[in-house]
Amino acid sequence: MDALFALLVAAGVNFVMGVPGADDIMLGYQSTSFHDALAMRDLFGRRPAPEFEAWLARAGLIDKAGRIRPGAVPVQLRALLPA
Amino acid sequence: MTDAPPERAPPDRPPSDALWDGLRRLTAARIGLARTGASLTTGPLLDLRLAHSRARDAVHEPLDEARLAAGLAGLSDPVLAVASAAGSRSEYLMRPDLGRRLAADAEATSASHAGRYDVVFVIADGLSARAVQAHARPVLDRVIEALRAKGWRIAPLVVVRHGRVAIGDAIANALGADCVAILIGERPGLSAADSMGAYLTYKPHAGTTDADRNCISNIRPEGLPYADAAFKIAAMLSAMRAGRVSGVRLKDDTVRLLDGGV
Repeated sequence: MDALFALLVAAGVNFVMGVPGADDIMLGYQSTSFHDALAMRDLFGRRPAPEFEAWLARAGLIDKAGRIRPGAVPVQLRALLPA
Repeated sequence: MTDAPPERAPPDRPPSDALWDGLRRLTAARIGLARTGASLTTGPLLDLRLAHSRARDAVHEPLDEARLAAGLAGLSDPVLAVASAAGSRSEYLMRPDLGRRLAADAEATSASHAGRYDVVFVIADGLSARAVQAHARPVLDRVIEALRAKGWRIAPLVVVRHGRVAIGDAIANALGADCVAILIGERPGLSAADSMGAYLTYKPHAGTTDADRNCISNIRPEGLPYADAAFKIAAMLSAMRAGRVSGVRLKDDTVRLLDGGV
């Protein structure tokens, strides 16, 4: 799965599925995860789509270099979750 | 990549974070996984590999026919045990066509019990023998009781080794049953290696396709519980017989049971 994913990214694919932990529990499929997408972006120096990147920055999920933000859950996200 | 490297933070969010614990109670999805950099930490990565290995093991696990047949005794005896034309588990996985055909002696085994039946229940290993070992009996208990109460004539149960869905068609024809309901182990997912499916077909024949079948999926206590699954199967079979049709022209209009009882 990782090898195929890397091949596709190297070939310029610009959309991949993201499911938590690569486990699509509704369909019982193994898929690609949010973590996989982040790792491929790091590996190939790719950035999110511009409007998505802007949203990620607004939500406090990425730093200025476009990397997923280290540390705790952003305040904006925590505010949406149950106490 | 000219920026200063990000400070080496410890892995985010230990899995016991109270925030995620609350959300995890609402879903079986793998949410709030700890990461380091952009990737998973070792714990969740090993969890995923373990789940993947369990799914593979479930696919290869052989059916214990004797135990399954003994467990099904008393519902609609006798319990007949037959095999598909696939000679081994590996051949079964490589040759889907053989899993849809009966072994040479199986037709005779079925034919010796031929009669006039409204439905035959077939129990096949499919891609997860453990699914039917665990869930067939509790579902059939309820379905058969409901149908008998309506006067249905139930054929002997048939257990199939290395069976795929369409093998039920030949069994229904050999026994003389109007409807076939096959309970079969579904392809394991990463979070459920023991999910059972039920495929229902009215008057199957040589040209029957999957469009002629109705499917009830994800039968297991953590998915569609036994009582709900049994209710749906009995209701769909009744609708099938009343409308003399199955498949895409028959819609599931059963309301979900509210009790969710197992």
